[in-house]
Amino acid sequence: MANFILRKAEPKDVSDILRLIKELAKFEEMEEQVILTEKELLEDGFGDHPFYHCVVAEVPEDHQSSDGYTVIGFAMYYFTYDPWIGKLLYLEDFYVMKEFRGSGIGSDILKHLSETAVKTRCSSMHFIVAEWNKPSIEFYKRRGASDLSDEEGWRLYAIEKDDLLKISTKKR
Amino acid sequence: MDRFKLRKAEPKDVPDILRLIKELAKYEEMEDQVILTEKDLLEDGFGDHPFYHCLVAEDPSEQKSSSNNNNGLLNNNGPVVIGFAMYYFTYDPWIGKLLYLEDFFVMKEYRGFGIGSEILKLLSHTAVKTRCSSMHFIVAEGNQASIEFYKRRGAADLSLEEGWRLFKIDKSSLLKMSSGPEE
Repeated sequence: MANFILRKAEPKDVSDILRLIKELAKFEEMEEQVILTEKELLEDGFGDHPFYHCVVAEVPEDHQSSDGYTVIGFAMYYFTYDPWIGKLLYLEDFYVMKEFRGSGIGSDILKHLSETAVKTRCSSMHFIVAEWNKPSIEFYKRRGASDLSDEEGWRLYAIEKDDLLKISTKKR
Repeated sequence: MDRFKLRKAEPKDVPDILRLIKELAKYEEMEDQVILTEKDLLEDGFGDHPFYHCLVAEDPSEQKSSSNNNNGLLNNNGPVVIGFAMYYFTYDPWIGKLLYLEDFFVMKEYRGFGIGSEILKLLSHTAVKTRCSSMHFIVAEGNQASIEFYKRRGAADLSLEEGWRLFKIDKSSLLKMSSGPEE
């Protein structure tokens, strides 16, 4: 049973956050797509207007990971807005290093996020999951999650920067 | 389009924003699901920390008539708000800031004038100016008209291309989790 604490991320955690973002991306075979830098994470998360919030899981030094890290899990979230019901908590990234799984760290992180959502008067927590990620889907469904893509037919769309530039500069 | 004006929403626009949210919900046959109030919209959009941003389109050639609203206050005379877009900033851990388009609606009688296109143009400009890498939004798979509108402007279906599905955990389950026993 791992001995760990959960706490709000601080500026000093930025390099660990980026490391864990890359590890999760690697798990999804997309590691080279992470172009975010520590500098951006610092400005965007710890400036006047935070664009995201993070909670980190930390183990004592004598329980560090095999590659020498004590920050071994994290969740990144922010607040979104539903025009029918108001504030929502949006869970963006959620990852525990492989060697620390099975100890209830993930459950504890989700519990902490649930408390945060309730405390900040959010009506719901939203997140996306890849349809092939069965373990994650089961993890969330056990906790009451429902698939809105299935139930309500929602599909996620993106307009990338080059098209945004095209749109914004197009003459009428 | 020259007949219409696009601008950032102000606190006085809150009743119109709620009216248009309800009109859009009605179009989706979900009007009774709108439980948000003008008070919520005011606090959440125009307080110290805005949880959303709005653009509104108005028709200066139409004037609202003076009338009493529920609080017994006179509505201002002024142009009628005939469309809106609600958005906020989200964060992608691989690329950083994104602009998320949450609601987007133009009243039926005002469609076909290019107002929707102008709103999207202003949103795109906002996204680029605030150094967002992308604009994200969800569309119901049955809404062919909207899907075509967005695809013409370069939108890609990430649910199709990358297999993303949107999930939610509702308040009752959040409460259960937050107060439940340790696993």
